[in-house]
Amino acid sequence: MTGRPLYVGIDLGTTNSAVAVFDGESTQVVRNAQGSPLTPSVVRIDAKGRVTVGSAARRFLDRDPENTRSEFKRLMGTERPLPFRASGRELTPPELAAEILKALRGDVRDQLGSLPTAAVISVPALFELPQSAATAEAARLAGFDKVELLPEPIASALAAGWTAEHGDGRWLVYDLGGGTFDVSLLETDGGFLRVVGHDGDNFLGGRDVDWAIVDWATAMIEREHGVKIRRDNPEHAAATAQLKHAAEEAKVALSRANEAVLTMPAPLEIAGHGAFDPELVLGRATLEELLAPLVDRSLEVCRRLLADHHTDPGQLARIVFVGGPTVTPLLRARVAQVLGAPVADGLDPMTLVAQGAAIHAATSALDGRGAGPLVRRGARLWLQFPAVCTDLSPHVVGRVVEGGSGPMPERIHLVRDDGGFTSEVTTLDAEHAFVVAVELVSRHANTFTIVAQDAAGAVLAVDPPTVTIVQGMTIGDPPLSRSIGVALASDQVQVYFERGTPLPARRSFTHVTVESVARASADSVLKIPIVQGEHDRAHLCRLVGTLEIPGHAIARTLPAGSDIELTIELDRGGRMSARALVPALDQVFEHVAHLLVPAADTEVLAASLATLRKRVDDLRADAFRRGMAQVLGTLEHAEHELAEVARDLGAALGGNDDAGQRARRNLLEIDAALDEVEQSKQWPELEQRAVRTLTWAGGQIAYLGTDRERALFEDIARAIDGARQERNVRDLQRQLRLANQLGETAWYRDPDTWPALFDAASSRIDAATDLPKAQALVREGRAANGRNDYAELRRITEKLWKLLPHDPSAQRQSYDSGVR
Amino acid sequence: MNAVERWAGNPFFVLELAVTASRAEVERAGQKWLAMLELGLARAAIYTTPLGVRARTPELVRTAMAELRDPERRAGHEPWCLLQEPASVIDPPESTASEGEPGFDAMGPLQWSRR
Amino acid sequence: MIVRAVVLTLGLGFAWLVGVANREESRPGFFGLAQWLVLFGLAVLGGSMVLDGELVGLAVLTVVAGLTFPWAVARTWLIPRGHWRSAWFLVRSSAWTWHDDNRGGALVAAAWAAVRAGGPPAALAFVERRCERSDCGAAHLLATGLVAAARGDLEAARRWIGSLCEFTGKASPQMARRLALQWIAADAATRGAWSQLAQLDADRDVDAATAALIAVARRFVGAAPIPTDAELETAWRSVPQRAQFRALLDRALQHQASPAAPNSVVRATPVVDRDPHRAALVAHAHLLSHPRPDRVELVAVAQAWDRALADQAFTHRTQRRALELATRGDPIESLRARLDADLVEVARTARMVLGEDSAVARGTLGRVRRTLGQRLLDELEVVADALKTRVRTRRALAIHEEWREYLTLRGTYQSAVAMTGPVLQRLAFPCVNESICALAVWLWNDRKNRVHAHQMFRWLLSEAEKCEDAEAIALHRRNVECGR
Repeated sequence: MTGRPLYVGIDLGTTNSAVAVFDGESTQVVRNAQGSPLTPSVVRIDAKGRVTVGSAARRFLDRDPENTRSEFKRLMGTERPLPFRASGRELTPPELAAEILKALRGDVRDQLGSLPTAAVISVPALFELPQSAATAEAARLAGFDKVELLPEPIASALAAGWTAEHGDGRWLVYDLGGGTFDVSLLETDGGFLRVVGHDGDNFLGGRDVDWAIVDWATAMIEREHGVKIRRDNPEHAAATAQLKHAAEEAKVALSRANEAVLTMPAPLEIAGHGAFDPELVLGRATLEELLAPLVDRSLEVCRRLLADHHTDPGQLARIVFVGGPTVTPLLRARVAQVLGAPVADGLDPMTLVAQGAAIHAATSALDGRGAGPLVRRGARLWLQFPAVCTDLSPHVVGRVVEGGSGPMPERIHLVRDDGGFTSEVTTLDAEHAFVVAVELVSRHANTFTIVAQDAAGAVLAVDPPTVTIVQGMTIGDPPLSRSIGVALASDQVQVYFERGTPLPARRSFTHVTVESVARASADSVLKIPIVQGEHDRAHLCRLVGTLEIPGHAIARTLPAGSDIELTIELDRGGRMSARALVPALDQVFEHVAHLLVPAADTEVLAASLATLRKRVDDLRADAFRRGMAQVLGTLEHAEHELAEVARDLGAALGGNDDAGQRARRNLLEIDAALDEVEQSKQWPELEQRAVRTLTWAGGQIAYLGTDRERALFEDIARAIDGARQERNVRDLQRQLRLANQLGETAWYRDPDTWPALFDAASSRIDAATDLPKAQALVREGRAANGRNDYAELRRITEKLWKLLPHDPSAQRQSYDSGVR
Repeated sequence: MNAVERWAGNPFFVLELAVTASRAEVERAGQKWLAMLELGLARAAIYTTPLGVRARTPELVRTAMAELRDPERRAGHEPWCLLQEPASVIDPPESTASEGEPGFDAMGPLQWSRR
Repeated sequence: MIVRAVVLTLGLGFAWLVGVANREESRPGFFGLAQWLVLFGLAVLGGSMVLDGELVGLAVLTVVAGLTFPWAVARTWLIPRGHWRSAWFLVRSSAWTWHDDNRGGALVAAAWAAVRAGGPPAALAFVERRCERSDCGAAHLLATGLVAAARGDLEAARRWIGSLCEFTGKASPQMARRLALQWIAADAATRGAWSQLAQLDADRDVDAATAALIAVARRFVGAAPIPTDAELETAWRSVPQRAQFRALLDRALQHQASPAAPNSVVRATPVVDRDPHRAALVAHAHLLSHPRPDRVELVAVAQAWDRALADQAFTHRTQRRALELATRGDPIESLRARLDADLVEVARTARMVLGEDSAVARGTLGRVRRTLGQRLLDELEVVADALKTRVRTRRALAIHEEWREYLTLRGTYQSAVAMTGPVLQRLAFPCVNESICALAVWLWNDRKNRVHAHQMFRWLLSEAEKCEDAEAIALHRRNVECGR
């Protein structure tokens, strides 16, 4: 290898992508053939099968939508291919992303003369494993041999930190994308970077600003032309699209000028009103008014993140802006003013992520030039040292692996090329190895010459003769963006890797099966669901894969209670593999099924939406009754989000898969939020139930119970008090169940009980699973009641209960997990 | 047993650092051990804990570095690394527990085990 | 000559088939008598051939002897040498020893021979397939247990074989019970589980070797009736393999015979160290390093930590350090959580009996007991729920697998109860009762497997009585009555 290294970082964006390179000292954004640092993430395939990428393809987005695809990043991890009608081809989201990556790779070759073989690609902080795996697959398809994935906020922080001259402190990365808002709190301490926390809003993005401008424009058109354009009216879709396009352009224009005109490419055509060409002038003041509520929402998220980490906004050392919408000066000024922190200047929010990814490629020693020709000079050394590091005194560790033709080196020391540092002379140990501490010049590429001497002190040639270490901010190994674990049958999660775990990572746990798997049975299968997310209840996390042990693949029946030693492994690119060893069978299972984002079935989504709406209504009614103001606020937020989901669901019904996926994810988030609300009010309810149960059961046992039952009840009452004092929900629920059962035992002794229970059961026989049998039982019961035969009446009532519908509450939620 | 792994995997033991180690020392030690492990050097292969000698792996070192970067997690590990030497060299606490009578291989004579 | 050969072959075949057809409660029954009559005839024929100087007669007499005493031949010659196919074939015609379950007996013979042969996969699969297809009596359970043992899964083997002693009547041949008890005794002695061995009933279905092992165990643990030297010697003399047990007898004779001390809370000597934190760490390290930690050590560690956590110098130091690191949580609380997690795990792995006495009500040990109890209940509910769901969805397993599932749930319940005491038993019983009752009802009503269902109802009744659950007692009394 010759010349400077080539570290490549790619920001594979939803709307635009960018590529940057780092040579060990500075980053450089690579421009495409059109001279732009940004390449639109758009792919077009024409009737002849020719593939066009970037701005050339984007021009066809409105004109030829059936053969032009954009925003496919949102569909990464799903299995649905996107059709290109003219050519008859179908490409999966990773294949489309690979086309963008190929174009970016070509741009690097055109500009720097070398086709990169390794790169770091940034991914959103909240990407799930299937999406990461799809991104890695896209890189492979694009011709990269080695690839690492890096969360976007960390990439931006690295780029900002690399150039910053500031000292230590906490800072905020404010990332406003097209449809989502992410904010990360980072900390530098002694030059070391750490992600302190992360928050975001999946419903907030630059697109909301565009829609606010569209709403303003439609209001103006209605006032001036008397035409009401509605966004939800399919007949107004074309006009709405034109207005949206004009709004996007005006927003960009207002970052430089005080006024911008919304120019439409063609007159607006509205049924019943003909064509007209409105003249709309948007001023900065108006835009500021429109922006204010959206910025306030983002600031609310920032404040929440800061409060969660006990950080006062005033303590922030700086704010780094990322994403196209943050170019707007009004937005920057307002955020900086409200949070009272300085804005990091001189950083390009559009390419910052790519630059950070390139810096990280250096940390991971992913030199994009690949292996060069081998030139041997003297003794060959196998060296290990950090290509980039924050530490000013790192170690260079080496081992002589081949002596060459001359004598073996005995002693080694390193000399910095500027002459400012010479290391101690180290004698090689029995393994021909050495560990040498070196000193670096801050924020420079430090090259050291390796001086090897034989026993007589003569200097020997070694290969390689030098090492170069760049001093600057690094993050070490790429961190995992979301926790990964196994869903247990109890709906709990056994966490394997916590968020922030450095990759690669590998962990093993032993689980126990809760049900038997019958050998050679087609419908018998043990599922080990692998989930990703931060919730402690499995059903609220995302299912990212399932390892299955099917009945047809096992040598003999696997009984309940068998051990399963499960190992999950993640590589540096975020690809997951799992392996289950079943000692009882002496078999290993490695096939992880459907490592994909689940399909967004619109019927299922609609049903979930309706269920969640009802839950919100019920919770609100309850919250009003109890006067729980805080809960009302959460529910209001949830209701707003449900309205957004309904809109996405409408789009999904029209064939927009991206909207369907967004709706699916957001429904899960809302579900989790409502779960939290329910849990917050669970304890007061339980306490009330405790009082009721103790009163009722105590009464029954005092009146009808035996002495032993009274003594038992006293024990249980004490245990209930203990559970209440400890606020132990599970224990209290169990003790109440026991108290209730004891109360019922006593109650059943009362002769008046069974006629009442029989009447209650017979009033529900319409719902019985076997109506004729239920009717016969009712007749028998009436006869028994008539002759006061309470033992017989009880037997009949119990039979009736069995015919009534089963309580569906026991439905299993935890992705049918078969392990604990 | 996870309790054993938890303690034996204490990052201070893995990186051979004192509880007062600075962030830079953590990075430096981690980088050194990773490099030595990559080169397969024998002196990097094991480390000592109160529960005995353990094998050092790159995964353990990387995890140890990540644990000590996070102040919350670091605080959780510090109280457990006061004891650096193996427990076997420390006098055990007195206990009245007695060892039971050892077993006797009765399976063989009664032909319940392999020939 | 040909006619004689045909007659002999048909006669031997008939004798074998008559034995195979035997499924009678009494011995000898009709089939047994028929078999012996035929064999007697063949023996006479064989004898006359020998007298006539025909060597074929010797072969006939050998086969006749084999078919007359199939179990004895298999037990003496075939099983010790690992000839599993021949052992199975021969014992199938057993009309005396396995008169009421010769299918099960044949599988026991095959499984036992397979164990001796080192567990050849073909033999184990052969036994397993036949066990899956059968109604699964005690002999099948013994065979299945032996297969598990051959595979090295001794835990499963103990569960299977231990459970078959519960069976009564035709489902439990005396030989199966006797062999099971011998296996259990030999296994317990090998593990050094003398207390468990001493609890076996020496008067019921045990052979001389088992009785001798029980006597030795009683001597070791001081369980009544403690055998005298003379009684030990007598027991030893009656064991056929006594030469190989001489060393054990000598150990038992040297052992001082004294009654076991009554159960009491043994307090460990407090660890003397000027720094309570360091003392707690030392104790903790010893506990984790111990291959078989006991309750006394656990109590000592918990008390050492209680002292450390009550030491103001330590807590101040820890809190000051947390402030320096600018952490958010309470460092003492997180230390406590980690400590609890460690001790719960140790207690659980070692299956310690924590009990409910006042020593474990407070402090670290109290927390550990409560946490352990909650966790065991959680797990029990998950397993019980899985069984209930399977029964509701009618996903059937082979009968012996159904029995294993029942044993697993029962074992989980019993071990949870043993570790934490009767309060947990009352909380745990309702969920176990519901699931096992559902399984038993399904087996009884739909699958007509009344033997196993009856055993399940019996066990549920005994547990209901321990929990004083009047409703469950009434229900299971009725269920057990149905099975009588």
